[in-house]
Amino acid sequence: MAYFRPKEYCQPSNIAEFFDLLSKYQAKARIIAGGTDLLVQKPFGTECLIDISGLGLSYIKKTDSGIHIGATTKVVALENSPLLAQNPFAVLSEAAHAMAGPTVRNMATIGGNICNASPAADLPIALMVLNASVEIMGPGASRSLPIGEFFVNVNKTALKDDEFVLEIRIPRSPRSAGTSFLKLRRHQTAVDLALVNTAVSVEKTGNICDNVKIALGAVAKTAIYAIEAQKYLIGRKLDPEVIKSAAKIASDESQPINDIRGSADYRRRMVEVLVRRAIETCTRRCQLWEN
Amino acid sequence: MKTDYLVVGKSIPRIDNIEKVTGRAKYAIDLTVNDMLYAKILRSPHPHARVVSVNADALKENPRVRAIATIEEVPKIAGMWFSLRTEKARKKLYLKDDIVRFIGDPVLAVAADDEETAEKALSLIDVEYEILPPLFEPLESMNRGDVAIHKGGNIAFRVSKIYGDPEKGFGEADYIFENEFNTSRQKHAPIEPVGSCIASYEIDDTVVVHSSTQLPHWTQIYIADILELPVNRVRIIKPFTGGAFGARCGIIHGLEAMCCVLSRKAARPVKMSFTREEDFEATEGRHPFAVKLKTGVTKEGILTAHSIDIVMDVGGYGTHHVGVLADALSTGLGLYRCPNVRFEGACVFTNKAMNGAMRGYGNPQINFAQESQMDIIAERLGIDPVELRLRNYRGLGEIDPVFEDTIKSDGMKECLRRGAEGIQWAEKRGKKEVEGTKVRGIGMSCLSHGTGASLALPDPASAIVMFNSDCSVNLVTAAADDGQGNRTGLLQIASEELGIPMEQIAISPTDTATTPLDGGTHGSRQTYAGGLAVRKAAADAKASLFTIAARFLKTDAKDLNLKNGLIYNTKNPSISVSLSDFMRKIEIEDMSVNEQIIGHSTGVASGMPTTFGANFAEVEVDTETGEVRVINFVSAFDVGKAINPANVEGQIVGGAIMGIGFALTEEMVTINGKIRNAGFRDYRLLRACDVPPVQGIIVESDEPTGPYGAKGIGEATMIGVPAAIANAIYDATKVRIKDLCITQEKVLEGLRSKE
Amino acid sequence: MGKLRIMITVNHQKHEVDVEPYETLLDVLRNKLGLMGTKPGCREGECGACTVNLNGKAVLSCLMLAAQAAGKDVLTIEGLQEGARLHPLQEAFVKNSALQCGFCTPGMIMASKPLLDANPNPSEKDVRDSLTNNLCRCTGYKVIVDAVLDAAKSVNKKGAHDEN
Repeated sequence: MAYFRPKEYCQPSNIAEFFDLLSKYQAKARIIAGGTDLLVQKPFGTECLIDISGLGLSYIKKTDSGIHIGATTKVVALENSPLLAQNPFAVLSEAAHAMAGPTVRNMATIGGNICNASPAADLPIALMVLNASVEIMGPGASRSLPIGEFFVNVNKTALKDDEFVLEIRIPRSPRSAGTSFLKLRRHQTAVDLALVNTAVSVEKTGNICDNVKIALGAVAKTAIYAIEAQKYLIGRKLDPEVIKSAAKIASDESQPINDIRGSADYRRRMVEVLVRRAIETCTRRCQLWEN
Repeated sequence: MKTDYLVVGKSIPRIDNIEKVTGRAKYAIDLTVNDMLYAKILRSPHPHARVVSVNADALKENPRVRAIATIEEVPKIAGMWFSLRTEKARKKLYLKDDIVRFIGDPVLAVAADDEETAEKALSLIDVEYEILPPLFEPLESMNRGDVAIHKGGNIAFRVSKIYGDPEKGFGEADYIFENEFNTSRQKHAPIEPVGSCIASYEIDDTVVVHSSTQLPHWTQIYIADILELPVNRVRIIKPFTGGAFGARCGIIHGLEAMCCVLSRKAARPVKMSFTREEDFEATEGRHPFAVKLKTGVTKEGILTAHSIDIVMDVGGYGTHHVGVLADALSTGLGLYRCPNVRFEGACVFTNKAMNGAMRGYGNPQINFAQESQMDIIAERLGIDPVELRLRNYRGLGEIDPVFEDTIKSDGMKECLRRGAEGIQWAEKRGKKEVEGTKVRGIGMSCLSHGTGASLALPDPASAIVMFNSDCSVNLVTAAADDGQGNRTGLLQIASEELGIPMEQIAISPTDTATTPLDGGTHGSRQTYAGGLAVRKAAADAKASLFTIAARFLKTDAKDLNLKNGLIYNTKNPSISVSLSDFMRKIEIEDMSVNEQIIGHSTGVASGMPTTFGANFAEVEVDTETGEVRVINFVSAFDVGKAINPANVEGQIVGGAIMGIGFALTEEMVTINGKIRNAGFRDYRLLRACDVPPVQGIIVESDEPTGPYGAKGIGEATMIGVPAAIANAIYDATKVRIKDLCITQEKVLEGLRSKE
Repeated sequence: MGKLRIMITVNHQKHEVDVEPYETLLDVLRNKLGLMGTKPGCREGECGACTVNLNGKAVLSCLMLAAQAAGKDVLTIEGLQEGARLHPLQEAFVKNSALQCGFCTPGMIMASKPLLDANPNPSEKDVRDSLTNNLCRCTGYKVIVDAVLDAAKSVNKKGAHDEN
């Protein structure tokens, strides 16, 4: 019987201490910030829990280059932050609001959510359309990875065993980008893993699409960009027929599976519906900013 | 109907609210006793197997492991208390063998000093299984003679009944409708997991069991039989219970019996607490029904013939299946007047987690089929669905064909009328509202359900009323309260009958050592049967009081009454004595008397009065995704008399939400015998944001056999809900879903096939 | 290292407790501090019966290590009343009979308290949203929502009274 019985719990007060612990336990250490995924999964073989909430990584900062969010920032903070209330960052606070429920959002962290790398997670797709990057730190060096490259497989990220996520950076965006986040649940119930979720960001001049990002969740091994749909839209008029076609292309790009929540076939159809609706919303929101 | 009651009919706050809101109420899961051990079950990983050998030698090294018991020593319950009636049936009630019949079926249990030791001990035990072929589908299982899940074959029970002449009846019909319906496996999922218990087998061969069972006295007998003890050496104590809905209707498979045997072996108390996962994987659920329904009607919509074929999926063990099928028979035939009926039902074993009693028993399943069928009939004939029900339902003065009980109170018409008004049936019906991709529709259903089980099962109720010298009163009853609030209702009844304020009456905890025989809290019976017993016991106590008072007052006992703390002669009120003076006198002061006023009652109710109800639902369907949202819900119930209207409304709203769940989101999914959603993430209960406003309407038809006119309500409130939802979805989309639960994929599939 | 000795304030009282690294706050509250009012409904963060307040915020104690609560302020259902005086939420639940079996009740009350502390005039939607992580099987939520709104009114009245 698999049992979760770590022998140690440590709360390092600085990064050097943290790396000492990590190098001591390596794959037998698990980082805990909120704990809302870890304490459900209870991974067998965990020997040391390293609590990083003492490392000063809970912040949402506005800088010249954009917005920097510390890895242990609680999801509720993303929901309520005035810095994220504005377009286009609002897609992240919308995603945060759609995630789990309010009590869980008091505990869960953005770092924990992206490191868990569930293909159905809500924050990753919002971060993807915001062109976010993940600041990764190792014992010797640091590196930055575009969020789209951070997710490698189901519950697997590009992190090496001796690395951790320091912060997430969202670059400055033109104000006129319209964004949308949509999550399909079972019968619109309040708490559910996404059957399909999508985040979209659109920039346009007049009615012509200048730039677009479409991120899909729950329909592949990781969150993915609908690359062909994105390519299709750029330079085209954002009229209903085009939007419909783009949604169909996105749907064809998705690779959903059958599981207890829904069939692959249904999910594929819903990608089309959600992406269409999301692009329509983005277009409307762009208009708002223009006016 | 008398309306000027002092406490009956008032929404008195429940008596145990304060314990519960302060966190002081202790539930079985919270209890500890000194020196107790913790037990864990080793469960079969196979859906069907013989346990060839069990090697627990490795445990001998560990002094912290105190006892082990296998299924060859601990019988499982394979029936219900109906079987206690004869010696022959009683023997068959207890099944002891070496076969496991579903994934999660207990093989053995271990008791140790702490939970972790018990858990780890399981992995050190070597069990050798002989794999047997599993059968998962009832239709296959009933036809496979080569694989017997139980001795005696895979058909656990069969019913075949003919009333009138169905062939002739179908011949007389202008229209015949034939449809097949399927209902899913719903799970009670009370917030206190099913289940926990502590068993203490004492040195003097008595055993005390703290159990949340809904049936303390039947449980007492089960345990006595299992341990081969006289009944009086078994004591069942029921603590606060965190919901039941039928999940605790007896003893839990593998729980109480295992704990008792382990405790006897270890000579220490043993506690076992199933995890939520064990609750979902290995305890009873609602029987899935496959129903073939053929109905013949005249062009006026009058039923001429009915043919009902039911196949019930029992799972690995049968406990309540006979009752559930009998309930489908009686409620299926009871709701509508139909002279010619053919009923065929089969309960079939399969190698999956067992099914048992769940709110409504067999009625929600058959009602879903019948009320969907009636909706289909109404549309085809161009008759308003409400009108169609009015023309056919069996009401006042009529006799149901199964129990031959006469209906003595009938509020169905008022339920239908007020429910229809509440949802704005006339205004909204047929006017499909459309907004963007969303469409709206309304649908309805009606239902009837018997109160209690006195004509079907042993169904006693008893109560004792004792006066104290200071005029406070003890009401002694075993009435088990799982959250329904029946204990408050019974206090109200006692208070009303005695003319003594509720605050002056205390109700006993449920303990078989001191509370007399009661049939348990199930079948919507407690307010009715328990209430009758309480009222009679109170009347009996008053009679004793008046007999003694008459001697002292030198007057006629039959002229005495008790009101506002005064015993007085109704013909000459000046002949009186205050109750407090009198009680002190006879219980303490006057040493030649020194007696306590005690009244009692025990017996069975004479009938199973019918509770009527109607449900009206308004839904909104997203035609692009198939998502369904219930946006408005109105339910009306004829409860005879609402002893406590707030408690009745609590049942109405709670039942509506459980019914909507059954319709839309709740389904245990089993693939190759393995349950895929053994948790709340994928067995989905509705949350506060998901529920529609529910308008509960109470209709009072004054049941002459009930205490102050009351009938049952607990189950009725969810029975008709799924059909109302399905009918509303049809009204909105013209998509007819005949299989529960109604997922959005099914709705979308239906919409697409229409294009 | 292994077992940790932590200082945790529970219901305004400081406690020094020895906890295992893997022990949840839920289990420490119940098994080590004898506070049984916080309930284990599922132990995987779905039912909310284990809701307590941590530094004034609603959290699920089954999804938290006790060690994570070190040095922090925990409030459980037992800590709501002041002596014999019930908290307005508790009073409102009693008055409105906003419970049936009562097993979800401590969690419901603890999930609602931070809402009322932050927002003296919540809307019905605010109340339902704050109860999103709490399941009830008995009541259908209607009476619970009514009770929280009722409690808000009485908290308001008290506040207004104090100002005068």
